[in-house]
Amino acid sequence: MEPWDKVLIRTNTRIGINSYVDVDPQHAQIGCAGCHQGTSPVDAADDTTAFRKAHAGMIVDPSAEAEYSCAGSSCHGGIVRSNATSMHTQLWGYKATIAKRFGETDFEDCPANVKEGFTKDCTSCHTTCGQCHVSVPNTAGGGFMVQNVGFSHKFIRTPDEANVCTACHGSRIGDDWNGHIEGNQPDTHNEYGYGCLDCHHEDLHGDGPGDAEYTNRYEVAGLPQCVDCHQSTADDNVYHVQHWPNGDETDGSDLACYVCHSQQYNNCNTCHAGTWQDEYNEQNTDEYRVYHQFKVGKNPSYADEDHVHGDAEWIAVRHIPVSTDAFVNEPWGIPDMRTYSYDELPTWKYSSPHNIQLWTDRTQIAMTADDSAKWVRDDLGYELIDTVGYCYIRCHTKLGGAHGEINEDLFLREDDFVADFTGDDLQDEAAANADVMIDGFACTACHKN
Amino acid sequence: MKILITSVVLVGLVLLFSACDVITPTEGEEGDYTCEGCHTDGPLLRDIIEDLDLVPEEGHSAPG
Repeated sequence: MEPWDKVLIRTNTRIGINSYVDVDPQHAQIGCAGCHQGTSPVDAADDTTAFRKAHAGMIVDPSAEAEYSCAGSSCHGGIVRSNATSMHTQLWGYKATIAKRFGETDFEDCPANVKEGFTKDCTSCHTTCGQCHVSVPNTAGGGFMVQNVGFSHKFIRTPDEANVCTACHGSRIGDDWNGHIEGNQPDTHNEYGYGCLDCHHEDLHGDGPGDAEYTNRYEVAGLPQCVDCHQSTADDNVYHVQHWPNGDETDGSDLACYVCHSQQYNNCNTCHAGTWQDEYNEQNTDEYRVYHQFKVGKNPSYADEDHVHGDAEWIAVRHIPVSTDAFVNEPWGIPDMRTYSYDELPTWKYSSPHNIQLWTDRTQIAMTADDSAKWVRDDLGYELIDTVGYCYIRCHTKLGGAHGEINEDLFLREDDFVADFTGDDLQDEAAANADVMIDGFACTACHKN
Repeated sequence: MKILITSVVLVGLVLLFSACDVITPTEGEEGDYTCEGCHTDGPLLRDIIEDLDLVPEEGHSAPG
């Protein structure tokens, strides 16, 4: 989009959109300068002089200080106050994670250079009211969210999925959701016409000061869960009976839904700060060091009743963009994170890929080597007719026997730390992931009893 | 006191709004520029931005 396109309020007198009043009558009452400051009208001899005079003192994004703009005149005060402490605004998960990697329990106790680096590198992704409800977020290029006549600079109550939600949450969620990874289908919920907010009923503006207690985005109250809709599937086939995640391994291994029902997903190595950032800026490609993969790991928080993911022992894990040299650049200035508490948290973390399909490489066992269909399609959908002796073919691994060593690549193992997909040595991350990787393939890896 | 403060705020807002081009657009005056006058005129906007060589930073999606 051209720079001028991004800030053009489109009007068309033939359809009655004569001015901004016709685009957004309510906000037009405030007027341009009421929010953006600057000067209007201005007298000037030429365009560029007019530009400079009009924009002197102008605030590009008034909602960056929403308490003085959106919350003014008792308009959106409640939402602004709540949003000020929300996960979207404060990045509580990032703060908690960084604090832990630096050996602190509270982010505010981290060294000054760490807090300064966080402000420089992490909070630049912040969004504001306007960057969700008027424009595409700056980090995704900016410009009015909707370019059509009658909609440019219109305040839109429900942000646009493509231009807002996945414009920021694109490298992982967006690519998953839309099936942009080669060989993937879009998420089945997307194919059925659902949008982000059909599942995400949690208040994206936060719930108030209590949000500061969050240490992880998954702790956000009201986050969607598969069982919100799929309540009747816990005992509808032998796989669910055996693997339903309930925090109790005595009735079968507990698998996160994603372990069976997600497709491969993007993984990121190294980081948005550190040396990676320099290389990224030089090459400026979204594909740089992003690769797709699917890995099953062990959940370090399994059976922890207080943990949001305590129910599942086996989880889909994704490499997150952090490395031992992630914070080498100024103002962080930390050559090797292992001098702090780098190993306190894994670099392969619980993942909730947004590319759900009923039939995946793991569930599609009808395509077994001997082509013996275990599922048959009938008029009502699918019916399980037989699984005995075959359920491990696409998921389980075993040494020796008729099937030899199979499915090893599905699991996060020590071998994965010799080198990553890009050839980078990841052995310096092995210790951090000791509780996540699968230690060998003895029967006891799954069968405790 | 609350009534006084509210009155002052309301008067301030009225003055602010009345100075705004959206409410009182300036039209047909040579050399008289308004916010809306420029930002609803694509060719003019393009010329000004190109003359000033204003190139906003390109963003990228990342957080996932």
